[in-house]
Amino acid sequence: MNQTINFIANTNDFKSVKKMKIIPGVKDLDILEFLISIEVTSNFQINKYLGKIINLTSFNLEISKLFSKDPSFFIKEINLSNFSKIVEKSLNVEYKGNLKEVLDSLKSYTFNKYMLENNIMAENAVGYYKILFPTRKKQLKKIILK
Amino acid sequence: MADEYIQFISSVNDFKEDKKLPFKLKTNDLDIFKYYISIQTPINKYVGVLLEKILDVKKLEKSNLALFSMNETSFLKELNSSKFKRQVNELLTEYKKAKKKALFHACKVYILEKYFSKKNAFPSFHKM
Repeated sequence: MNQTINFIANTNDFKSVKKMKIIPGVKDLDILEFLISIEVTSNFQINKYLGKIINLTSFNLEISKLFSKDPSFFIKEINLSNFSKIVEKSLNVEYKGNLKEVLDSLKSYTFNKYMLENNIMAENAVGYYKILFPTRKKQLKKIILK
Repeated sequence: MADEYIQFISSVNDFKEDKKLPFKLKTNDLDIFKYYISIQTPINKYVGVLLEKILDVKKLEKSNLALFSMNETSFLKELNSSKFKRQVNELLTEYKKAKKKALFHACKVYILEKYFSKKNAFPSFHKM
């Protein structure tokens, strides 16, 4: 039986089709690069929808106050109740009751931004999706490296 | 809203997933946001598994166990040290240029995610 990996987004505002068939000769590294290319896309969409769930302008302003802290202090801060209050305050009206569902993601968003703002990882490689694999240069340049 | 959906399917032997979000009238932005995170989590996990197949990152992890007992500030300093860079490069002798560079960063992300997952902190969107 053929092994395949397919990602399809067929929505009014976003269309994407990524398909891979694992045929003889396809290496683990090829699959890894393909999956990371899906991560790049999903990460971009996650950030887009995050902007519809919370007021990113006010949230970014609040979390920027944490960026001058050292990493240990920063991690403590995002686990305090004060951080939850910042998230709650920034949630758009229709999602005010969904704090628990989005809190961990907002911690990741803030942590990600902290690392990028402080240039903690060389070439901003804070996640697999940020790594410039040779076969994905075009996609990354289009989506990430703006 | 005719047949709008998002779908991720994998039938790879050790990576089976089938997640579909058909858009309905009640589907909102939070549902779509959560769906993307729900596919990113297994994808990211399997990328780690593939990396373990491609390179001996487990050995890298074992020879750097001391990193996992450091605080966050010291850990990040060590992860970006020339000593750690040398250890990673030892795994990459058969690779060249751009691929070597990409795998170098992937090894660092692998250790970065291992360290912070133990602290229930995730520098990328893949756990909810």
